[in-house]
Amino acid sequence: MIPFLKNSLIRGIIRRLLSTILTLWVGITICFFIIRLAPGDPTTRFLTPTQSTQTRDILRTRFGLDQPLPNQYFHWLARVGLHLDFGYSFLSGKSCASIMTSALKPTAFLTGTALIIALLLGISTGALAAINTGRLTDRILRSIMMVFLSVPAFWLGLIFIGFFSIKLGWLPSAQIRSLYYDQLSPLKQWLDTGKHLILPVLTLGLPLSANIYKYFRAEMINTLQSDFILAARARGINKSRIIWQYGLKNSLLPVISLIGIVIPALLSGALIIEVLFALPGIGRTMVTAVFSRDYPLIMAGVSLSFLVVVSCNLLADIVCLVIDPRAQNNSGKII
Amino acid sequence: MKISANHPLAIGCIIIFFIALFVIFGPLFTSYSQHSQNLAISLSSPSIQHPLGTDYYGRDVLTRLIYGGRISLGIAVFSAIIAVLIGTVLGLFTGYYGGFPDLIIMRFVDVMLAFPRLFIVLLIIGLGGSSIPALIWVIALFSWMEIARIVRSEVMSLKNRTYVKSARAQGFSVNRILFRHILPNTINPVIVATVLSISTIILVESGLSFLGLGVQPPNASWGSILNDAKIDPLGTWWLSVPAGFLILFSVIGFNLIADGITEELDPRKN
Repeated sequence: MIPFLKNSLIRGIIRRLLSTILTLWVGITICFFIIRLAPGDPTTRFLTPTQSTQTRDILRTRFGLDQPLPNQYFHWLARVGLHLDFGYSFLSGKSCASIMTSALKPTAFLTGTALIIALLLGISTGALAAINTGRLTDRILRSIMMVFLSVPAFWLGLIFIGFFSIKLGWLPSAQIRSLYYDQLSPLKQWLDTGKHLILPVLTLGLPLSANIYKYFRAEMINTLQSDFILAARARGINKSRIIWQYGLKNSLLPVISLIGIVIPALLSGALIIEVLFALPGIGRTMVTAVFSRDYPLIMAGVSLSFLVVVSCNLLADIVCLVIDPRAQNNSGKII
Repeated sequence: MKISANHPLAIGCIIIFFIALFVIFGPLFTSYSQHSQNLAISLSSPSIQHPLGTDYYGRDVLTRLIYGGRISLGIAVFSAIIAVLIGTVLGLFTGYYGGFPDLIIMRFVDVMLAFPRLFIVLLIIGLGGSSIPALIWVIALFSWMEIARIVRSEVMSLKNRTYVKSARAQGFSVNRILFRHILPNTINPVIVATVLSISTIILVESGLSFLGLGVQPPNASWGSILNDAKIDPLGTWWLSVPAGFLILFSVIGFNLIADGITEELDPRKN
């Protein structure tokens, strides 16, 4: 029995891995052609009206834009696939990899903390609502969460900035660190960054928590209605133990796959919030890159965000496979 | 079915009804044009002449909210309709035929779902240039996937029912079976998905317009009005609060309608 299980587990993981690589490749390829087929020319940014078309041709050759599009694609793919080399930004001349690495930190911080807060808040309120279905607590939570679910995150951010930064002056409204950051002690540097991230994290996390709340509430109600809970109650097991140990535990598993699903939304949300709070993350770098048609940088950002999304999905799938033996049936296909 | 007993549906319909009244009949109650500027009264706070104040160019905010609402809601509704059409047709055919095309299309759906949507829409609009039809199409092209999945799974469970088998036995064409026998039975989840897509598209469009990549000046949308409020959100509250509440309540309205319909269709309720 055990070798069979292991076998099907490994087969399942390999299947997932292959399909993930395929998804990644197809997605990045689509993006490459969307970007290149869109009208506009990155070289116009470098030209003044007095310069001749020769200058433009020189630039085009230097950027490799004079080659036919399929050649450019295979060239790019080979460089990225074989050497993980994303080339150099048209605009700044720096390597895209180094720009992305420095932009990754604020984004990872922002999205990671927001996700944790959203999970804690979403699961606790979801569980609370599920235990009290139909009662006042449930109804109040439902109304609050409906607002969080529907609020445009950037507007929430605007109101936060207006209230906490401009009116009360408690928290900074932009950037990730203060101007005097370098003169601070390491501990104070942490606090400084933390202070700068409170508003962005809340702006990103609160709407997301409503999604998790909605999902978790339904999941937990479902679990609490299932037969094994009824059986546990029939055996006279303590009610709070049933709820916390049986109900909560069994409703948590689907949350793992939910995390895989919310990652794209989280990245989309981070983009707009980084622009609003002027955080030097991936999102803001991308918006600037799009405006200046900085092809290599756009592609590096697209590939990176794609990679994050598909690996999170893959990870969620694998965790589900490992935890839940039922998912290993049918050659690893999630049922 | 008593709608009055279903609070979310009733409240949602009332909210959307009033917002629709506001954007449809609003122009009857304002004498300003949405584009006419008057720099002398730039950023003036609400007064009797301008019930919701003016923006940087001295344009009447109330008038711009009305016309902006037409654009915001128009984009959301049209995008959702296109997305539903694409999703339904693909879902019907993949679910009914299965096999290789189904595999390819569903893998493609997986790829599309892995895109951070705002990210990719921003990329296309930012590079390709923004116009209202472009916004409608691009948002729609990245919103049909969930609907295709829902329709496909419905069709897969319906296609082996006896009534479909008997229709097939009578020699009806595939199109007739799909559109006259199967489609009507998948309509409920499709309606819910449509209403939900309207609300998410309102959020996507307002986000894009807020970034300056959506609806372009001189036209307004609720999102682009909020962009004007960026500098001092509470100081110029007449720019930030009404536009924000209009987005918030439209989305709440559509979400409540979707919740209400789901509740109404829930077999456990009866």
